[in-house]
Order: sequence, then structure tokens, then C-alpha cells
Amino acid sequence: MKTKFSAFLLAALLLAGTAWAQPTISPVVSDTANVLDASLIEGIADINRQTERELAISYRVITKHFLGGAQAISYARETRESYANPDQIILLVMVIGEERYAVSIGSAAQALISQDAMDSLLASAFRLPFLNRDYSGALAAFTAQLAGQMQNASGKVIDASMLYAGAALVPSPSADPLDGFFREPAQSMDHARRYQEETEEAQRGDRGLSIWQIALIGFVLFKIFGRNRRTGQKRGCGPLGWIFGTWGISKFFGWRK
Amino acid sequence: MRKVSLTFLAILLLFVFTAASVTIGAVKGFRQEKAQVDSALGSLGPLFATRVETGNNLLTVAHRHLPPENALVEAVARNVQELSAQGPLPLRAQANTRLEENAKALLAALENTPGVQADSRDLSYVTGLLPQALDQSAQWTDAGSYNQAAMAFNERLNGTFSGFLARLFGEAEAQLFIP
Repeated sequence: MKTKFSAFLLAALLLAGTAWAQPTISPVVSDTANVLDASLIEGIADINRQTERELAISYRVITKHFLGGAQAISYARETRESYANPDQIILLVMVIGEERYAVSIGSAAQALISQDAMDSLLASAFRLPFLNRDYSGALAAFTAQLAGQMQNASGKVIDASMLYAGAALVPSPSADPLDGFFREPAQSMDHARRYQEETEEAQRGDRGLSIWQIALIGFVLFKIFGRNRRTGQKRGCGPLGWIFGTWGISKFFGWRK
Repeated sequence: MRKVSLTFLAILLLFVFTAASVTIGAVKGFRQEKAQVDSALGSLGPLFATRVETGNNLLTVAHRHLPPENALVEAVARNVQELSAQGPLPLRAQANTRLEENAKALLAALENTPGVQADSRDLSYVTGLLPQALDQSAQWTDAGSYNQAAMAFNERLNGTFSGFLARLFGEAEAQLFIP
């Protein structure tokens, strides 16, 4: 019984460990700039399911307001490489406030669509509506063309008929607008939290004795020096005097908390 | 006579060891505290990246509506450059303070340009999202928190006997940012 229980516990721990070790699953569309139509996002998620099932290729879209001075293509490449299985990913980054975009294609995905073909698709289907701020329209047209291209290259059917192009011409503030403003908002917040914690800690100072520790030290000193060992007679002040004396000296040395 | 001199030596040694342990404890303790203050200062460095990003984002919008030779655009660009440079942190903190002032002035100037008024997207950036990001990044890089920590350390260093011992053995005051 005990062995079974141990085996069960070990299996549970292993499962938990595996789950912990898995990389974070990125959303298909990360619309941090809040410019895309909800049904378009659903449609793209559906196309991604099909490409993952039929071609083992994932499609990801990120919208951001700004990149804070970074190149869109560098950001796209770095972000794709941070995902699990980056070789199988096609990532489109739309930078709304900078009026720029970039696509990064993983090496496995390049077997289906080359960078040149991708540039041509972007120029023909995406560029004009994107610059006219029809972000959903641009993305829907581009995704439909991309699905067609992958279908032609692989011979597998990718149904893009459910894509719907809505109209969201003005970026509205999202729940957390900073997500779309900073390149790595989570990392920035982490740094900010660490800075706050470290300044608070430094302000407190981590040394010093508590009042109880001071009282204990005072009492021990009284026990050692407060009585004549041979005669057993009291010497000097009582325990409280020693405790207050220790308290005063600890202030003088800066040992108090 | 020999017994008396041994007792005297023992007492002398007791005092020497006690003084040494108190001094070593004081110096070690203050070094640890100083390391904490320095670590807090070091954490501020990466946070300046958020200010650089915010400054660059503001410049992106400004370049669409104002000429590059505009004084405020130039000032913000200069502050962003100073903040990006890997110079001493106090200098970067000063550039950060100047960026705050210049960025606010540039936002106000941008809001009044006909180009921004006619562009609903950029108007929403200039009146809403950019000031929010500017405030947030200013909050993150608040040098006041560091200054408080450094001042508390300096107070302990200058106001206690242990601090006196630490100073005697070379422990210096923590540097303060001058806004």
C-alpha cells in the first residue's frame, strides 16, 4: 500500500514537473494595440488550428502601438525565437503607431513560403489597407492570401472562408495600454518591482537587534556579571538595569532595529 | 607578581578582541548595507530603458507633425541619447529629469498642432497613451526611492558609533542623485 502511494506521489510530482517545464503557450493573436475585430481574431485562430494540424506550421500575430526605437523585423525575429518550436512559426508584427510591420518566418515554414513570396504578399494584400488604418481588413486579406499560398505549396486544404474583416480605424485604449507601449512590459514591471523592493530593503537596513534580543542579552549579562560567583551576592544593578543598559549601548553602536 | 601580569594580559586581550570584533562587525555590517544600496542603484539602470522607449515613441509621433529642427524635438532626442548612453547613473538620472520636463512640453506643443488635431489616432496617443506611458515610466524610475534609501544609510553611517568605526575603515557615504 505504502509502495503504491509512493509511486502515485512520484508520478504526480513528475507530471507537475513536466507541466512546469513546458514553455508558455503564446496566444495566436496578441492584439495589445486593441485594433482588431474579435471575429477576425477567431477566424485567424481557426486557420492556425488548420495549419498546425495539416502542415505543422503555427501562425502568430502581434499588434503593438510602438516598439520604442527597435526595428520591427528584429523584434519579430526575437519574439519568434522566444516561442516553443520557432522554426515552425510565421509571425506577423503590426506596429500601429509607427506605421510599420514585419514578418519573421521559421526555417521549416520557409519550405512553404519564401521570404520573397512573403514580401510580395505583404506588398499586394497588406500594405495599402494597413497604411489606410484598416488593420482588420489588411490582416484578413493577408491571412487569406497566406493560407492560399500554403495550400498551393502543400496540396493540403486550408479553409479561409471564415475570415471576417471588421473595421477598427482608431486604436482604443485596452485594459492595460502599457502592454502595447513597451517592448517587454512584463520584464519592465519585473525590473520596477525589484528596484522598489531593493530600495525599501536598503532603507530599512538588514542589521540590528530586536527589543527581545536586547532584553535577552541584557539578562544573560546580568546572570554572568550581576552576581559575585563566590559569595552569591548581588553586584551593581538588577536585571532590568542590565537590560536598559544594553538597550542604551545598542543605540550608541547602532545595533537596534 | 607573575599571576597579576597574566591576569592583566588576559584582560587586555579581552578588550582587544572585543574591540576587534565590534569593529569587524561594524565594518562588515555597513559594507553589506552599502552593497544593498548599490544594488538598488544598479536596478535603476535597466529601468531607464523604459524611459528611452517612451522618449522614442514620443519622437515617432512628433516627427510626423513637427520639423526635426524643432527645439523641443531636438531636446527630447538629446535626452533620449543621454539616457541610452552607458554613462554614470547619476548623469543618466539627471537626463531622466530633463526628459520628463521636455517630453511634457513637447506633448503640449503637439496637442496644439493642426496635424495632430486632424488625426484621431495621433490625438489619442498625444492626449492619452503617451502621457500615461510617460507617467508610468517616471514612476518606475523614481530616483526619490533610491535617495531615501541612500539617505537612511548615510544617517546610520554618520549617527552611530558603529558607523564611526566603519567610516574609520574607509566606508564612504552613499551617493545621492541631484535632480
